[in-house]
Amino acid sequence: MSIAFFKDEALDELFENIEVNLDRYRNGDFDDLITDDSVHKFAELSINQEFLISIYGGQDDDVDNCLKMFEAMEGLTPKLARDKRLWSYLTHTSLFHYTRERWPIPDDDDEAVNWIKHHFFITGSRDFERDNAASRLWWTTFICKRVTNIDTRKALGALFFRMDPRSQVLDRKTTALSTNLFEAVLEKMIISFEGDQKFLTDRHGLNRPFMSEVNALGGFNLLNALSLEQSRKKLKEIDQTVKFNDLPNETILNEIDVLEPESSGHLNTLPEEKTIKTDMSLRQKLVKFDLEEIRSKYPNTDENERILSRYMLFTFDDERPRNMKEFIEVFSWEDRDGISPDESFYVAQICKIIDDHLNL
Amino acid sequence: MRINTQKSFPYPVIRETHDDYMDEEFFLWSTNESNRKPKFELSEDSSIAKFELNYSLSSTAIKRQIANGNAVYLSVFSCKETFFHKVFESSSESNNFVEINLDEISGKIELESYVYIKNDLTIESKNINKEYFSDTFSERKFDYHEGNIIAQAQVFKFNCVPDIFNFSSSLFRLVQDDDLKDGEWHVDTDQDKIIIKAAKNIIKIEQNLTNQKDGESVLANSIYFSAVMHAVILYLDEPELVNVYHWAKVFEQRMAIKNVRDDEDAYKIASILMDWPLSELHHLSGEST
Repeated sequence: MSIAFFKDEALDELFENIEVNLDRYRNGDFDDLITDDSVHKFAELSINQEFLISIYGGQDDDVDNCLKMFEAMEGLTPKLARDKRLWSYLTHTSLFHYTRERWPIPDDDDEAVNWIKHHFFITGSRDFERDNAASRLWWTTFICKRVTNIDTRKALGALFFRMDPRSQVLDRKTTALSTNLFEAVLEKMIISFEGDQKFLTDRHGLNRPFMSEVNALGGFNLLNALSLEQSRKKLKEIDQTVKFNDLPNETILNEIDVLEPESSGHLNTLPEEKTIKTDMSLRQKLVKFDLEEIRSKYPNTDENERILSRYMLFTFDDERPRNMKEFIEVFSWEDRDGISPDESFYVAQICKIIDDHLNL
Repeated sequence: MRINTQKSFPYPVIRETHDDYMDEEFFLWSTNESNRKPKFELSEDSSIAKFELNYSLSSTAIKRQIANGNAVYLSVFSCKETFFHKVFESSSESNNFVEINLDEISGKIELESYVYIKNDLTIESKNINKEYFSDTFSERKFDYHEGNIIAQAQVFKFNCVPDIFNFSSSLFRLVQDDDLKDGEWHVDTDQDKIIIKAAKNIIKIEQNLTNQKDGESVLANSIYFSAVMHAVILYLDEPELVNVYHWAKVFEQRMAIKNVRDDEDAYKIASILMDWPLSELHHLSGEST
């Protein structure tokens, strides 16, 4: 099948009418709306439709789906792969049902529109690798395939194991661009993935500080010119110098035990806190909600991916986002992406607790 | 490393914005042109960009180290959009050529150039800023280590967009305007794209022509040629438009690639930018070329 791109007009029209088409996104499809007049076709490059339609499933299927996508688009150049019209076409046609399955559309209409913009369309440069349901599969594989010494499936397994470390690597373009350094980081991720996984799971205590140091390394060193051996050596040096947060990763369950009553005015400070401008009641409400609602439903979520992990709880309490818009402003993309998909649905409820609290 | 003009290095570096070295400079230059900007040419089919790199370094002490193999001229080509990254090393000041396949590029190619230390060395130069030394009478020597950079040139960004005047691409957009009477059309350049608003009958003609062999050539020579010429006039009148509209940036870049002088007449510039579109009508003339 020839590769096809939306015409600009068709893409613009779809983008402008997300709200109008919400029911199609949720329950229907675009088969009757997207016609031959909506697309440019390029006979020079074809898509293997068999591979394409075999893409399905959720987060656990990302690695397989990446490999299928790359096979399906054999011959696609990075230049063409940077055309948002291609990926938006796929998410509205052959990969429409996959996209909806992988990124279930929120019930709230405003949230849904924003959600669709990122996962069905491409609104910014980072959406290619990160958000668009189709392009992220191709681009992540493409980036891994640049490293010829590492099996692509292994590399993808480590990259997709947790979203936050993946962002830490791919969003730091200096690291991702420097092929040898990227390979050395990938090796480290794979070792962790196949070992104790701490480097990948402890995002605030271990992974982010490490990657910040890697970034800082680029300050005075020409990362691009480092050989693979030199890159490995530099990472070992960072391993030795990074001051890991070796405080025990206390759970909120433990934390609630030491919370003082609201009237006492005593604050249970977190290690990173300098000044807490909060009262106890909001914090208690959030912890209670976490304990009674979230943890009872999802007892096995990784502590580092909890919507109300220590770090997230602190930030919710400190910044007090009252709605989804403020939540997006307060939390970095990496923070948001690192939340377990199961627990991410609680964001709206948490914001409502904050809003109700502030309205008292 | 991302070049940051405000960055302080723990050692002296020759660079335009700092006086770590007094009266020393490092820059790239182009043959045939007097400006300090590397040149690139596109292959005939516009698929390859060929860069010519000529390095100019004033410091003889550092040049000596390059000759001895302890340092090299090093250029890094990168494209953030596509994760493209190519490192070029040379000990030669001139006649350095690098080819880049444009299928690997989207948007801009960034070029950073340095003198890069390969082996630990000491540079002794009276031009090292005395502020680096606590004692006025001490020798002006500095130790550099493998991986350090000792000179850094200006960063260049290149737009290599060879097929921008393909009218199915996103620079131009033809839209129907129901307020216009049959035959009327006008060009709107107050946006990133060049929007051609046309009456319904023009849109129909355009659709029919698009589906016919040579139809696009007719369109290129009529409505699109006029639109390009109009935009050229605006760009020549107000070059600052490159800071405002994407289309103006594309025009600027395309004129640079095509080596078009801006004192040419607008119709001629439009013809060059569009690769002499009248020639595309040869099939309609019944003659083969």
